[in-house]
Amino acid sequence: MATADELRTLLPNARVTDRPTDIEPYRDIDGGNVPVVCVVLPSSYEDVRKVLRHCDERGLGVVPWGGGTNLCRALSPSRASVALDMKSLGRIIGFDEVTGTVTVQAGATPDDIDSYLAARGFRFHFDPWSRFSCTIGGALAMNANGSLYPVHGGVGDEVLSLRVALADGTMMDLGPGTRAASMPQLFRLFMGSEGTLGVILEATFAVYPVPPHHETVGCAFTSFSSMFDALLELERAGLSPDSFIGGTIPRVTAKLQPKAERVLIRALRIKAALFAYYEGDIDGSTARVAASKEILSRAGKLMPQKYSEEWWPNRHTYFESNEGLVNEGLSPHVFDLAVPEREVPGLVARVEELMEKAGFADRLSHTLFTSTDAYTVSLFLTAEELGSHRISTLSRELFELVWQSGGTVSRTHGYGTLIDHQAVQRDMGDDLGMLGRLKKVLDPNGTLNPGVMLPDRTEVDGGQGAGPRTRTGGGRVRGPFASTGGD
Amino acid sequence: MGAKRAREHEHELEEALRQAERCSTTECSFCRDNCPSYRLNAFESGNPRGKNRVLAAYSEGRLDIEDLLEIVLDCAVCGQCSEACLADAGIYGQIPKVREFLQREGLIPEEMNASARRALDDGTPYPSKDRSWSEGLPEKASVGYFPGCNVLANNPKLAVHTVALLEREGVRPAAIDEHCCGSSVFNAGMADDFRDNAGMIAAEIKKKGVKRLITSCPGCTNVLVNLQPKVAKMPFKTVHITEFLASRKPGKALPGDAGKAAGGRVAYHDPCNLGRKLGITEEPRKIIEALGFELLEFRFNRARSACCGGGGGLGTVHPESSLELARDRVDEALAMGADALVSTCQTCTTRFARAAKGDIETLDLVEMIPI
Repeated sequence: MATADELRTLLPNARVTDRPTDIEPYRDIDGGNVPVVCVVLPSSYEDVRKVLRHCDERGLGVVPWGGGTNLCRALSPSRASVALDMKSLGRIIGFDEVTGTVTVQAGATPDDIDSYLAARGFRFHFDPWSRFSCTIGGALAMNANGSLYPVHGGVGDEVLSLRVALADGTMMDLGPGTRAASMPQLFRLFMGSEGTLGVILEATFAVYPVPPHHETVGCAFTSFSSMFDALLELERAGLSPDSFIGGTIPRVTAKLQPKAERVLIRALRIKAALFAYYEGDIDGSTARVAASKEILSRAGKLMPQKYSEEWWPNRHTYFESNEGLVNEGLSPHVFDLAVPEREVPGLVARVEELMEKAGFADRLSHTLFTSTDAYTVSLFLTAEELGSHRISTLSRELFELVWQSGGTVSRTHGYGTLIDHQAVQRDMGDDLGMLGRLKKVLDPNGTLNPGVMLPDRTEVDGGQGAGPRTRTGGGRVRGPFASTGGD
Repeated sequence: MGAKRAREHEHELEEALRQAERCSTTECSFCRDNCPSYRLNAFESGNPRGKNRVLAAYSEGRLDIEDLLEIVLDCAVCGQCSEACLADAGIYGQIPKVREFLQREGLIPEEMNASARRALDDGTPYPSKDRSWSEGLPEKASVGYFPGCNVLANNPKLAVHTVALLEREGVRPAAIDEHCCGSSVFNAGMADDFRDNAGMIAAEIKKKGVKRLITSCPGCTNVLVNLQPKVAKMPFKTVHITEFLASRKPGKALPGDAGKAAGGRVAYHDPCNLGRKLGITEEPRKIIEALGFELLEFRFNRARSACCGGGGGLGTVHPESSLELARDRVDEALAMGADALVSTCQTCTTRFARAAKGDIETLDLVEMIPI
């Protein structure tokens, strides 16, 4: 009996499909060779447990699907697998105004949760670029960050408890549900492990009332370093923004700006721009804005209010909705890096040099998003360039520079199958070894997300766990345009 | 098999493939939120990004042309995906082209073809067309009124009411109702027939000396403004009735009926064709407020409004699913505490009325304006 038929019998309330049309979007976009056997939309946690147990016993992989943004190809298993689409479990289960907690199923999107909370005067802290499309389960599995990172940390930092299903179908409720307990926070194992240790079913988060006031300051600079220095000065003065984005304007996009803005960019010799967001009570945030304006105006040129205010409400589409780029056939190719703050200016200079040599200097931008150690390199590339060997080689050279600076090549989009095992090993070091050991205990048959982060059991030499895989061409960090993973 | 047939359609698929490639560079899935097709088919193949993937797979020979049928026919062509897309890759723009070659392959379902043939042969895709509304109107005038087949089939008194409103404003229009706008012909992928039909409408309008055409149906308005000028010369200006009336003083709503009384709470649903495709979003609101109603907004409104379920022939091919989408809107209006669910599109209001089953009053905005 085919797997889909077996699962239909096993899960009468779930939706199961193995129609070619339905399976196609769950296959790997590049090769189309990823063997997705069938797709399941579970109707309950019990369905999830049954799928896991069924596949675990038969040597089939299970790929937990969230929003499917799939930025690091964490949804591209290395062997025959069932795609478990968790978007069908997306309810908001409960909200407690007194304790300030919300409990949601894994398939809810940040926008679903935030809209629900907004109607009750509260806010969801996780605000990624993909807030309308990623799921909370996927975001937790990638340990993603969002634009409120300086205030609340990443998506996982406000989690109080998790409900997960292990590869053999065991369901576990982990975490104390409160911050006060001193017990080990083992639920954190499931954050950033990209669905390799368990399937997240449900999470409880701490949430807070919507701040009554917010303001944004925009400032233009003549160089990346003057912007970076200004951010450090804000930090030293205790005026770090509650969110910010700052980066250089790539020459290619500067040329595509509307005429008035192009003239402004030239006249003011603008090379970089910063938007700093402050929130809180009116008096407090206004005072912080006034003080930060003083610092910023010494280092750069403050933008008119109408430009300053543009970023925050448009932050989920701000840098992407550039029709000019689309018309030119260019898409941003993004490397999200985590680099020690003191190393950032030096690394930016080395990346500049590397891209100059490779002929991409015009199509390069350097961005800091929410933190001075969260550095993003964006290259604006044609569709042909995106998948080319040239970019693959360039990626590897860029990775080398990052490692030499003591940084990591995956800040928020994860490793998936896109970054090869050697690179993951180099990036994670002993953490990968620990992950391999945990995998052996929690998922001894390698059922969950085979080939993601860790080599699949078929690739392991002598069962040593996290050794390098021979796949080449890693480092192609496709798509979008920065922000979080949210697979 | 798939690869061979894909090659035959290579030319038509060229843009669809470029689009799929653009889509793959972002992978954002912003199109998924609020997509009516995805609401009905919760697998990835139900949403615009997934449909792009399916089109790409067909062109690469992994799927047969028959596999495209469902993803193409369950699209409401509401345009929501194009509105949300960051990479200019919403599937909406590609659906008509794919339907065209499905039509040539003889794969469009008979119910869609029958509806299109009625539109061409009888001047309406509906079983009947009440033309008594136009009695007494002049044969020729500089302003014409095009009520649309849906209004004449399901709510002919709206056409009578609209004419009365126009006359109150000093406009005596010529009746334009000989031909259907051809929306169902377009949706069935009959490109040549659609072009010929556009030519006949243009000829009727020219014969009657009309320079400005006032419409009731947003679907017809979209066809007349955005689609027909691409295939025929349309030498007149088309104005939706809400655009015309918003600049007038509508007066206060008539007292009486529940939900119609001034001060009532009205949830306004932007029809896809009017709000998203024509950008007419503020005029209906201006009228509602001038009538003295409290305006309630859906979570998805204006250019991001949700489909009522009736777009793109969805109501013909999947009638039950189509009503489920309408019921979603009804439920949201009820949850907001609305006394009435109001729109300016007969397709939307008819569907809402069927889905509401009396739970809430459903009205066309123009009907609420006193003469």
